[in-house]
Amino acid sequence: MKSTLLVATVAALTTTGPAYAYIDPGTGTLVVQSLIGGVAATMTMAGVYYSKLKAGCNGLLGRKSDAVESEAEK
Amino acid sequence: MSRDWVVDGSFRDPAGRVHEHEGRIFRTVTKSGAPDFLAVRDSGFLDRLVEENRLIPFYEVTDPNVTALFPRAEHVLEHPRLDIISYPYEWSFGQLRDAALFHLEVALDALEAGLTLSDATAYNVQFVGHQPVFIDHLSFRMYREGEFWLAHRQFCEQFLNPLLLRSKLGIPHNAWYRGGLEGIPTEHMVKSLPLSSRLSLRMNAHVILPARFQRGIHSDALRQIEKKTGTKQLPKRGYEGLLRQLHSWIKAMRPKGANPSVWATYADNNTYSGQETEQKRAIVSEFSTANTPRVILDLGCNSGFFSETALIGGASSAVGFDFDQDSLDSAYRRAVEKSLPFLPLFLDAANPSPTQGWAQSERTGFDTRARGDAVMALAFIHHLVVAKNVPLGQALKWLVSRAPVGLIEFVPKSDPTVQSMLRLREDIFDDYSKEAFEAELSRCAKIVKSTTVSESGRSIYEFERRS
Repeated sequence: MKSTLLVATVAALTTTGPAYAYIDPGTGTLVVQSLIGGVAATMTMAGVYYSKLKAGCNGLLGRKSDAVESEAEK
Repeated sequence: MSRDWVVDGSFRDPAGRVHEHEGRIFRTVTKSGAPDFLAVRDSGFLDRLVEENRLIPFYEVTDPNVTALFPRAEHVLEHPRLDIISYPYEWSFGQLRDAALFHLEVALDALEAGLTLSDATAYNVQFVGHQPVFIDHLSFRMYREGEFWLAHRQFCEQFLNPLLLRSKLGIPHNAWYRGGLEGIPTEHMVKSLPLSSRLSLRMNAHVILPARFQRGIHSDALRQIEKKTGTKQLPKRGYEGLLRQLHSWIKAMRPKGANPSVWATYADNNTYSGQETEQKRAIVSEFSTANTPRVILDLGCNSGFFSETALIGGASSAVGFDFDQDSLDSAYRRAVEKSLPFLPLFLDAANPSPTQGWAQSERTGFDTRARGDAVMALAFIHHLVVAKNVPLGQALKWLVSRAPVGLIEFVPKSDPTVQSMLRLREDIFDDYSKEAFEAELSRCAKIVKSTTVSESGRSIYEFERRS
């Protein structure tokens, strides 16, 4: 499992990484990004929808919303 | 500095170099950096950041007299010169935290504009007064769908880990950062963290697991990887999520053990009241009004009370120095809350920042950078002479070398503060007296006037440096 994960991740590094980076990105962080990237994306989307929902509710209640701040805190 | 006046700290990124020539600051864009620079420039994002005072302005140079200086450059930009350059190992916790948040906000806005940052070095952030500003125009490039955040490790080592050092362990980052120059290695950070950190998802995502997987990559694994290819990618929302998660985490960080109410606002631990303080305030104000320094240095700035006084009096900007972390945090909060052009920095005067890094010239030392039009050292010199045994003459010569004019307070042995410093040690300071002070100061400067400000005999001397 571990070696498959490493292979997949460092393969990604070899296909997308070095061409764009003049610093060494570090393999450890790329493994983790490949692991949690989907989760982080889901959480971000949830945050965006939550902010919109909150802004909508606030709008209905006639309150000012701070959608950007709320979103940043997700 | 070499023949084409390259600033030695700018060698890492092949996209360009920074040059200093006849007091002007230029940035050259190389052939390899030109395509990304043009794409980013044409996106309008750089102009937007400049308008928002988040990026140092840039002007494209067409004057042939200047471009001829850099024959291999594809583009030559000029930037306004900053009054002072500071480094993350000279920032307080609050400054490093705000610089980290600033970097993440720039990265998020860039991502939204279809751009990304190729690095995450803290040295790309400078402070103009209390406000962070980004200084590397060539760090931006077009975002490529699915790419990883390649600067994540650099961000963690240069921002996150030093902040964790203070917020989790109560250790100020300054000495460790200065020693390593590139921040706190994640592998070292993991070993320092309390066991409870292992239960934290954020700690695992940004510190513990990256260190663990970094260790796991050895030649065998790399050999297997060479045989295969993959298309694993980081979704853009995932990239954004990482940035937002770090922003949220860092925003809530406080120094370990800090009193939240004190830390949240500036606090004058010294009682800046009473006749003595009023007299000192009047002297600083009058001095500042008479000299109107563009930059005044405040050595031993404490919470920045007298820096603020100097600014009100007529100084354009103030740079404070102190070795006490709580004082620095207070001074920084004062600058932020009152929007002062005041930059407090960490300094152990007996061990100032050296010139260091690659070829021992990458990051310049305190002596080169900390020069002002005026200097004040109030309640400062006894910390060098009595606490650190620095000879009085050397301490005064060093102070006077900071600026052509200034104020220095002499604190005599009879003062309760010095008495307290000598309580547990032998008094080896036979030549620490008002007479010796005046004689030594007169060697390197003209004493314009002196005023006694306390019953214990504290006196403030105004000087003009001898040329």
